[in-house]
Amino acid sequence: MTQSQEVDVAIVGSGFAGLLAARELVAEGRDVTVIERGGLLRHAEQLRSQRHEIDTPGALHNHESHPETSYHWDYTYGVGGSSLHWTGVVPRLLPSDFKMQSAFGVGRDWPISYEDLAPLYSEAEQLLSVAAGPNSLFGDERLGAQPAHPLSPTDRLIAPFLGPFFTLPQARSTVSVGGRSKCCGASVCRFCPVDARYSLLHLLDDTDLAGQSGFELRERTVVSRLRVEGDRVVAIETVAEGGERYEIRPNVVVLAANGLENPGILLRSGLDGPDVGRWLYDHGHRLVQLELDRPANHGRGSALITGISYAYADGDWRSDRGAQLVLPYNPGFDVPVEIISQVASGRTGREMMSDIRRRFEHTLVLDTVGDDLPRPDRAVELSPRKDGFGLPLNRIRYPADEGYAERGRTFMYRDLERRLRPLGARIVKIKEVSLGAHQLGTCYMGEDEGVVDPDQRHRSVRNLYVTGGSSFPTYSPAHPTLTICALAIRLGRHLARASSS
Amino acid sequence: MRERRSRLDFVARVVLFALATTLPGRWLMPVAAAKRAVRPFVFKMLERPGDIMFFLGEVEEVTDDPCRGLIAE
Repeated sequence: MTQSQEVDVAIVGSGFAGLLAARELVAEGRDVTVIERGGLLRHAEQLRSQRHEIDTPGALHNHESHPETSYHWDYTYGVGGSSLHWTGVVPRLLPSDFKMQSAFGVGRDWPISYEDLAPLYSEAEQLLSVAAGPNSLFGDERLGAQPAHPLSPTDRLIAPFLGPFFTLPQARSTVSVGGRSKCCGASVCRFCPVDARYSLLHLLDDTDLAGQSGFELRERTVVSRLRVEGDRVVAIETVAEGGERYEIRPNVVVLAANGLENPGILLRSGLDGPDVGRWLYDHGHRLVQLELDRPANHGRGSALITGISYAYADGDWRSDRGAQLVLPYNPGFDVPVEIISQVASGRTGREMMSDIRRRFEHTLVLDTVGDDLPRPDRAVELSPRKDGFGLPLNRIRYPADEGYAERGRTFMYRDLERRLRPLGARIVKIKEVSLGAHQLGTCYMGEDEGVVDPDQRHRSVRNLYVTGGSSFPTYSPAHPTLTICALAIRLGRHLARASSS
Repeated sequence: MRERRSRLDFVARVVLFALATTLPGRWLMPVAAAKRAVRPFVFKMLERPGDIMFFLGEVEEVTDDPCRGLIAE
């Protein structure tokens, strides 16, 4: 017989969206049960094992690429979700990012504005111990919770040519928090050696969220489907790592898994619709290498990335081509790859060494990240193939960038050489880096359209909410985590208010 | 690197590396295969950012300090 439990609010997923919404609800006296597929792996054990996930069937990734497309997707199933492996870059979206349709005649408008989210951005920056400096694009407001990482020598070299240029807001601390060290510039952020890059394990430790009455974490538990009767979810059907089936009967359900798994759960529950799983987007990165006629000053700075250029982030031209953010990469180009290439071609010795060193010194590396317009052909579907729990895999259809996004890149490449001509810059290499870490748009939020309403409430199932990157109606070139956090805080407060009223 | 790897692993990497980079092995091996032979040696030799800075002559020694990465100003 299946066991069952009645709960107040059930949140699926323990990443940024899930735990920040849970924190708000618990603070208002609600009882929250967070369901997580993976398990808890402390930072020290992550370092020892060089892994972010524990060995449990739920942590096995349950997606496959559609046979016609291929793309790498990167996420973590574990307590803390992708906060365990992210690199901590947290710009806000620009005000214009929220109104692409009304400002530029493309994409969609968000049903909320930058002004709606601004105070929540500030709170999220405090929670994540964000190091940030002034940024005039966001007015006079003080950003972040800690002093910014200073611009690196590379930043300072190119900032005069790539304005507006600011210090990068980032969750790599510049002062010690919770007894942890500040960032030491090791530049291996996915496995930060000193735990200075923020993770949600810090939230659990520093706020004692896990110890608060009203908070329950049910890890190593997979949500099979939601059972819906009429306009309500009456049960969440789950299966534990040993195969035990369990039924959770909630008053309210929040899906806060990720942009692949949120629509997967909806589709497995028969809650399909024209937009569920569609409009998927991941920020495609391109590492642009430019050879300069002088040293690029690489290998120096206080963190992996310390500056951000908005030279291609906003303007009327967004009606025609995608926006881009440009982030100088302080470690410089990939020396091992260059050595391998040269040695395998027969070059060795001092000649090779001096050539690599000269090129390292003179090659500027820019991480560029851009947006695209929503595309219905990028989608999460259910596969005929099943996972170890007998559930259909999430099958991802993700054709390559073209049109709008590529026009943005093409313009940027040409203009980078023009702007940096005083440094003798010429592009020598462009490397596509498909990180697959930002799964956006698959349950998008709209005023009268989309999968969820402006409160992130499902349009037909009234006690079901869907939050996280999947709620984004459009994407902005900005990294999405801070916006995911702000939306989660907003949802948590909305649910707390709804309860009290 | 020798201290961080087992003896067998280290010797295997060195042998493949030597085959790929000396005659007549280098003549016989296609570039793609040579890259595969060189890769495990070089990546392990330079697996930490501090190792790269040492290789490039930017720092004078390799230490076990986990924070050895970028050079602070």
